[in-house]
Amino acid sequence: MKETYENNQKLINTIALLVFWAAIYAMFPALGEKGINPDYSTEAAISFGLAVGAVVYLLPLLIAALGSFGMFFTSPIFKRRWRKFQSLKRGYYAFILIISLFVLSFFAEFLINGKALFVKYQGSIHFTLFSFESARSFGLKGYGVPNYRMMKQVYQTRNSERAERIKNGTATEEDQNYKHWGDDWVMLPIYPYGPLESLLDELPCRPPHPPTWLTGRWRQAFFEESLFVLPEKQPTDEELKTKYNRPDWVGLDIAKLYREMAVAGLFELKPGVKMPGTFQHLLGTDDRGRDVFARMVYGFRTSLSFALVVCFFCYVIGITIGALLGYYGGTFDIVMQRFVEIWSAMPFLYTVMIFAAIMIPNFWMLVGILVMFKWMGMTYYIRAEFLREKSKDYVAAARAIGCTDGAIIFRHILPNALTPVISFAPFAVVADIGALVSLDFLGFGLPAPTPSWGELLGQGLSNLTKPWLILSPTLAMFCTLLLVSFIGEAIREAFDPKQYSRLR
Amino acid sequence: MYSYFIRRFLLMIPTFIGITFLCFTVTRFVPGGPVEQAVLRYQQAMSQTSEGGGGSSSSQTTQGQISEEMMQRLKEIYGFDKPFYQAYAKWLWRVCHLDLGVSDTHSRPVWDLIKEKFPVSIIFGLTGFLLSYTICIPLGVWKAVKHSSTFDTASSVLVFIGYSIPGWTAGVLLLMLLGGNAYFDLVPLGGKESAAIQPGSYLSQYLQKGGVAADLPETVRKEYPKFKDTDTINSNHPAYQHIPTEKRAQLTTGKHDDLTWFGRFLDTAWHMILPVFCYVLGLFASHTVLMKNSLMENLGQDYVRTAFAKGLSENVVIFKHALRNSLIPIATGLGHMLSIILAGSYLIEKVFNIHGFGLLGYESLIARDYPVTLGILVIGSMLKLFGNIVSDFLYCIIDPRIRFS
Repeated sequence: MKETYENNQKLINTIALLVFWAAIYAMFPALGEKGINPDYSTEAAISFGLAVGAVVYLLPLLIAALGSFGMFFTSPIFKRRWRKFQSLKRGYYAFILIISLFVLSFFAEFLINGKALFVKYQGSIHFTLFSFESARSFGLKGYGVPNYRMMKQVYQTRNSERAERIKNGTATEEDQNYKHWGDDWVMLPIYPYGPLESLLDELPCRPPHPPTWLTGRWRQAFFEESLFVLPEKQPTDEELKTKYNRPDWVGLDIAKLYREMAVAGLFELKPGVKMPGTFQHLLGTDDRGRDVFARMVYGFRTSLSFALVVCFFCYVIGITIGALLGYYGGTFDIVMQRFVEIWSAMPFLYTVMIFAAIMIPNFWMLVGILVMFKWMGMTYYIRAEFLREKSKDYVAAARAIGCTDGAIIFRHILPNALTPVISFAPFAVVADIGALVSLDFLGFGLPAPTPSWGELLGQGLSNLTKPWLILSPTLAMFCTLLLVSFIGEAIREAFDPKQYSRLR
Repeated sequence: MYSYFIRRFLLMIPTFIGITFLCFTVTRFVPGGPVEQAVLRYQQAMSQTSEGGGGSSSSQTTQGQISEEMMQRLKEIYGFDKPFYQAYAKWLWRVCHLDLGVSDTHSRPVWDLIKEKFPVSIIFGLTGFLLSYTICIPLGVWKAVKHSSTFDTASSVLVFIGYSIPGWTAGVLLLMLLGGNAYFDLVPLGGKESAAIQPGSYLSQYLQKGGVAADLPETVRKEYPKFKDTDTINSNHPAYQHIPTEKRAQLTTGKHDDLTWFGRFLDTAWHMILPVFCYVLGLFASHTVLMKNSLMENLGQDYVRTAFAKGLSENVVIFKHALRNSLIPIATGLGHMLSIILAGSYLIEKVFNIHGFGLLGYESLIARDYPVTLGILVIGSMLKLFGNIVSDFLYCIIDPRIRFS
C-alpha cells in the first residue's frame, strides 16, 4: 500500500485536495458570505474525518484495485478471450446493442422530454432544458413551468398575427422591434413528452389512453365518453345494407349498433374534441395520464443503472472480503466464513421487502439495501481463487523479493483471480434488474413518480383490459434480459470454456 | 460427520438470532409503526365523531389529542414501552415457546394465521416444483445426449426465454391474455377456488344436491343463525337432512364447497393452471441448464470412458452410470424446496390473489402488522436454515465420496 502511495503521490494529493474542498463546500454553503456556520460544525468534523480517512486508506486501495483491473484487461490472455468473445456474434452484437442503448439513454433528456431544448423569445435564445423558467418570462401567463408544446402553438399564432399586422400597416411598436429580433420559436425534442408530466389536460377521455395508432380503441373510448355526435335518427335496415354495406349490423339494438358504427369511424367527433396524431403517444398513457413510451425509456435507464451500481458495489465488497479471506486464512477466515454463512441464510426477498417497506428508500438507499444482502455471492469464488493462486510459485517469488501483502494481493494475485468476476457479472445484472422490477411491482421499490417497469406492471395488473400497460414493460424487460443473458452466455464461453470431451 | 451436523445445528441459533434481531430493530426504529398508526386512527375517529356531534364535545377531544397516560397504554399494548433489546428478548423468549404473538390487524394469533395460509402456498408451490423437476430432468438429459444438435439449439431458445422472463411477469401477461378481460376467456382471474358458480358455467353440472335455507324448519334454523334465507345448503352439511325431501333439488348456483369431489378437483385444477405454470417457468431455465451441464461433465469423465471401453452400450453408460452421478446436484436442491417455494410465493400469490403465505406477508408489510411480519420471517428463515442442513445431509447420503469434517 505504501509503495502504491509513493508511486501515485501527486495524483493522490491532488484528489485529496479536491475531496477536502468538496467537503468544505458541501458543509458550509454560506462560507463566502457569513463565515463558518456553527450549526454545521459536528457534521463538518465528521465529513472532514471521513474525507481524510478515504484519502489515506481507501484511495490507494482503490487505485491499486483499478491497477489490477487494468492489468487484467491488458493481459494477452484477456485479449485472446476478448477476440473469442468477438467471434461469438450473438453475444457480441447484444453487447454492442445494449451498451449503445444504455449510453444513448443518458441523452434521453435531449430526445424524449416535455421541456423545450431552446426557446427564442424577443430576439434572445434561451437554453431551457435543465433550467427552471417561469412561463411569464416567455410572455405567457402564470409563474409555473410553461407547457412548451402549448407555447409553440401560441408563438406560431402570434407570429402569423404579427405578419398580418405588418402587412396591413397596423404594426405596433413591439412589432417593429420584431423586425430585427426575428420570429419567436420553440425547439422541442423529437418526442416532446416527459415521463413525469400528466397529460390529462391535453388529451380527451379518461386515462389510461390507448396507443395513438390504435384508432379503433380510441374511437371506442370516445364513444364510451359520448364524445361523438350521434345521428338524429337510427339508420334503417335498408341504409345499413346499401349505404354502409354492412348487412351483419341489421337487427342490433341501438346502443350496440352505434358502438359498432363509432368504432368503424362513421361518426363525427363533437366540436372541440380532437383525435391525437398517429404517432403522438407510441405506447399510450398510464393510469395517471403519463406517456408510457417516455416512462419505458427512462425506466430502462433507471433499471440498468441500478443493476450496474448494485453489481459494482456487491463486487467491491465481495472481492475485498473474499481476497482477505483467501489470502490471510486462519481464524479470520473461519470467523468471517461463519458470518457470511449466517448472512446468506436470510430469506433474501422478504428481508429486502421488510427493509424497503419500512424505510421507503430512495435510489441509493435501495442500492444499499440490496447490496447489504447480496454481496456474499462473490466472496466464495474470490476466496477459492485466492486459495488456489496463493500456493503458486509466482506468489512465493513475489514474497521473496520483499513485496508487501498489499502489493501481492492487488498486483500479483487479483489480476489472476478476476475470471469469475467477469463471467458472473451479466447474470448478476439480470438478477438485479429482476429484483428491482419485483420490488417496484410490489410497491416497495423506488419512490412514487420515478419511471419504472415494475410499477407499470403493477398498474397493468389492476387494468387487465388495457394490454399496452402490460405488454410494454413485459416486452421491454424480456428484450433487455434476453440481450444481457446472450452477453453472459458468450462471456462464459469465452472466459470459462468447459470443453466437454465427448466420446460419441 | 455427526459432529459436523451437530455444529451446523448449533450454528443455526446465532444465525436465527442475527436475522430476527436485525429485522426487529428495523421495525422498532422507523417511524410509522403501529403506535403512530393507532394514534392516527384514533385522531381520525375523534375528528369524525366531533363533526357528527356538532362540536359539543370538549376542546381536548375535538383536537384529538392523546394524553400521556393513553400514549403509555398504547405503547404497552404494542410492546413499545420497553427499550428495544428488552422487547427483543421478550419476543424471542415467546418465540422459543412457539408463541408468535397476536396480529394487530387480524386480532388473531399469528401462529393460527400462518397455519391457515401455509397449506395453500404449499399445494401451489409444491405442484409447480415437482412439475418442474419432471420436465427439466428429462429435457436436460435429452439436451446433453443430443448436445449441439437441432433439438438442443431449439430447446435452448426455450431456456433463454425462460431465463429472460421472470415467472410472475409471465403470470401477469397470461392473465391479461387468457383471463377473459382482453382476449380469451380460458382461466379464472385468480384466487384458489370459485367463489360463485353461475348457472351456465361448465362447473355447474358438478354441483351437489341441496336446498335453500328458507326451507329449513324453524327449530333447526335457530341452530344456524348465520344462514340467510337465500343461502344454499349442500348435501354434506349436517342441516341438509332436515330439509323436506320434496324441497331437495339439484343446485344450479353455488360456491366451491357445493361441488362434488370431482367438481372440486376440477375447480382447483382450473385455478392452479396459471400459478403452477409460473412456478415452473421460474425454475425451468436454471434446472434444465443445471441438469444438462452436470450430465455433460460426467460424460467427459474417465469412468465413462472406461465403461465405453468395456463395450457397454450407450444407453447403459448414459442412464446407468453417468445419469446417476449427475443427478446429485439436482437432488440436493430438494433440500431447499420449501424456501424456494416461499420465495416465489410473494410475487405469484400477489399476481393471482391467492390468499397464502406470501400474500399474508405482503399484506402484513403494507399494514405494518409487525407481529405477522416477524412471524413470517421466523418461519421463512427457519425453513431456509433447515433447508441448508437437509441439502448437506442429502449430499452425504447420495454421494459417499463427500465427507464433511
